Amino acid sequence: MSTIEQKKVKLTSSEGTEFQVERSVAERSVLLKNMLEDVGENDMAIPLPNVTGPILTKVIDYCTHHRNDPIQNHDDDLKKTSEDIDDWDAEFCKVDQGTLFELILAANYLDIKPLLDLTCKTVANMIKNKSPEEIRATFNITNDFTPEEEEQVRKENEWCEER
Amino acid sequence: MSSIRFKTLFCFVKGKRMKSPKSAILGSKSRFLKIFTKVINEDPGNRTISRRQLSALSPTKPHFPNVSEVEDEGFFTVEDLASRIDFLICLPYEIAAYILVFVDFKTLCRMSRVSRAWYCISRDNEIWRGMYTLNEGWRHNVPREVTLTGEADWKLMYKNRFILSLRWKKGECEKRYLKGHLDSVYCIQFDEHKIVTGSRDKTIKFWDINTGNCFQTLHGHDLSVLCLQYDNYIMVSGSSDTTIIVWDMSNYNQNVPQLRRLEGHCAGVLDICFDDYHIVSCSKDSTIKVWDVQTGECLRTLVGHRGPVNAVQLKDNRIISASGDALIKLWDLEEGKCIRDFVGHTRGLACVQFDGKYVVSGSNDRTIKIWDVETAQCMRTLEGHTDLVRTLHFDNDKIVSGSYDQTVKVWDLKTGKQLLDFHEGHTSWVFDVQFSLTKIVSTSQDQKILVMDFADDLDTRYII
Repeated sequence: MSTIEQKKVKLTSSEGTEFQVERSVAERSVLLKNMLEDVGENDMAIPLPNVTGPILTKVIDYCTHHRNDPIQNHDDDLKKTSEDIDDWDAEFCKVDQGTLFELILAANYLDIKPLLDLTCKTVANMIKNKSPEEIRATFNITNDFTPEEEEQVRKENEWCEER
Repeated sequence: MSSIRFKTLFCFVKGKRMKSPKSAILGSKSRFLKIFTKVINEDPGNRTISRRQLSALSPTKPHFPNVSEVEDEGFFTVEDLASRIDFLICLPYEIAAYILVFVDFKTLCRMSRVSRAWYCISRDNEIWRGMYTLNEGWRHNVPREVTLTGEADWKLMYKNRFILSLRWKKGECEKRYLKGHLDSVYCIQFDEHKIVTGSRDKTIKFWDINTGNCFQTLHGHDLSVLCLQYDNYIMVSGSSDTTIIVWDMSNYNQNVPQLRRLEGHCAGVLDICFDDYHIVSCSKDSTIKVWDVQTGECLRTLVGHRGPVNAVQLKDNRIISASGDALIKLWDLEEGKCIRDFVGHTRGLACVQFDGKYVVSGSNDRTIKIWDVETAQCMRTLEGHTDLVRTLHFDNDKIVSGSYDQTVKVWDLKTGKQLLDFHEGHTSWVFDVQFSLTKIVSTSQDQKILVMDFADDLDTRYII
C-alpha cells in the first residue's frame, strides 16, 4: 500500500515547469484521478497547458493541505452558504483578484469541487452586504444604466430592502 | 471605455483560450447559453450582453484593464486597479452563475442594480427557483407545462412570497366584510374560490371569495346552522334542530341538493367532521356519534363526557373531542372506546383541533393549550384572550384563534408567542375562524363575515 501511496506524479504547467506531487495529492483533482486511472503506471508528466506555474503551486498547496479530507457528498439539495470557510482556507484565498480568478478557472478545469466552492464563496463574500456602488468599486465595473433604467431597476428591487 | 474593454476582451478570445474539458465540473453550458441567447435575441443592441456572450462561449484569460482604460482615475486610491476584475462577466456563465448560488436574495437584488450585464445574470431563473425552494415552508404548484415553457418567473414568485410573509409578520391586510346573513354567523369553511357559512338565520350561504357576492343560499335546517364541513363531493351540516344534513356539492354553482338527513341526537349538533368513510358528530346531549358516510347509518355512539360536547375532530382512526366538562378525550373510532383524557383546563372547552401529533384546545378559562396527543401532557398554555376562546385553527407554524373578547389572535405554534392581535374586526363574539396562506376569515355574532386578505395586489397563482 505504501509504495502506491508514495508514488509521485509529474505535472507540467503551461510554461513547461515540471511539478512532482504525491498521487494522493494529485487525486484531489477528479480530472487527474481519472487520467491516472486511464494511463496506469507511467512516468510521463501530465501536461496542464491551461494552468500557469504560480497557480499550479497554489492548487498543489491546497490539495496537499486537504489531501486527507473525506470526499464530499452530493449536497446539491442543501442550502449553500459562504459563511463556512475555515481559517486556513480563508488565509489561502487572501490573494489578488487576478489570482483568485485563475484559481476558479483552474479548480473548474481540474475538477476540484471543494476548491471551486471555496473560491466561488470568496467572490460571493466580496459581493455580499455591499451597495451596488460598493460592488462596482470592488470589481471596477462601469455603471452602464441610463438614469431612467437605473431608477427603474432600483424600484423593481426595492422590496428586498423591506423588513 | 466599454469599446476599449470590448476590444481587449476580443483579443483574448482570439488568442490562447482555455478549452473546457468534458470532465470539468460546470461544463454543461447549453442551458445557460440558451437562456442567454434568448436575452441577446430580444435585445440585439445591448452591447454588454454581446461581451457577456463572448466570455460565456469561450472562457478566456482574465481581463486586466490598463490603468489608462479607467475613466475616473481619482476614484480608487487604496488598492491597485490593475487587479480588479469583473468576475461575473469574465468567467464562463455557468461558473458566474455558480457564484450566485452562495449569495442571498437581498444580495441578488442589489447585484441587479450594478450594471446591465449583472442585471441579466442576477435574474437567472434557475437560481431564483433554487432560492425559492430552499425556503422552509415555501411551497408552489407551478404546473409542469409552465416550467417547461420557462414561463414561471421565479424572481417574481420569490418577491410575492416574500412580501406575503412580511405582511403576515406585520399583520398588514385588506379587510372586507361580507354581509347578508340576518343573524349570528356560527360556522365557516373556505377555499380559493368560495366561502361557505352557516348562520342562526337557519341558512347556509355560498360567497364568491373574489367578488364577495353571495351566489347560493341553502334552506334545510329548521333552526341555527351551527357547524359545517365540505369537500369536492359533499357538505355535512349540523344544527340546533338536532339533525345533520348531507348535501351534494358536485355542482355547487348551480344547485346543492340534500342527499339525506341524519337523525339520532336528542339535542343540538354542535360540531361535525368527516373523512372518506365516516361522519363524526357531537352534541349538546353529551354524546358523539359515528355515521357511515355512504349509507347514513349510525354506527356507534360514544358516551363518556359529562357535559355538552362542543367540538370534535377526526384524524385517521382517532377522534378527539372537547366538552363543557373541561375535558378533552381521545377515542378509538373503530372500538368506540375512550383512549385517554387530557386534564388541565379549569373550565369548559369550546374548540379543539388535532393534526395527528398535536392537540390544540380553547377554553372558557380564556387559555389555549397545546397537548402532545401520545402522552396527553400539556406542552404549553397560551394566555392573552380575555374571554372564552371560542374557535381556533392551526397549521405547522401558527394558531389563529377567535374569542368572545371580540378579537382574532395569531400565535406561533412552536414558541407559543402571540404574533398578531386584531381587535377591531368584530363588534361582538367571534364564533369561527379559518385561515389559508393568504387569508384569515372570521365570523361573529355581529352577523358579519370578515375577510382579511394578506395577498391583496399580489400574484399568488403558483404559491401554496
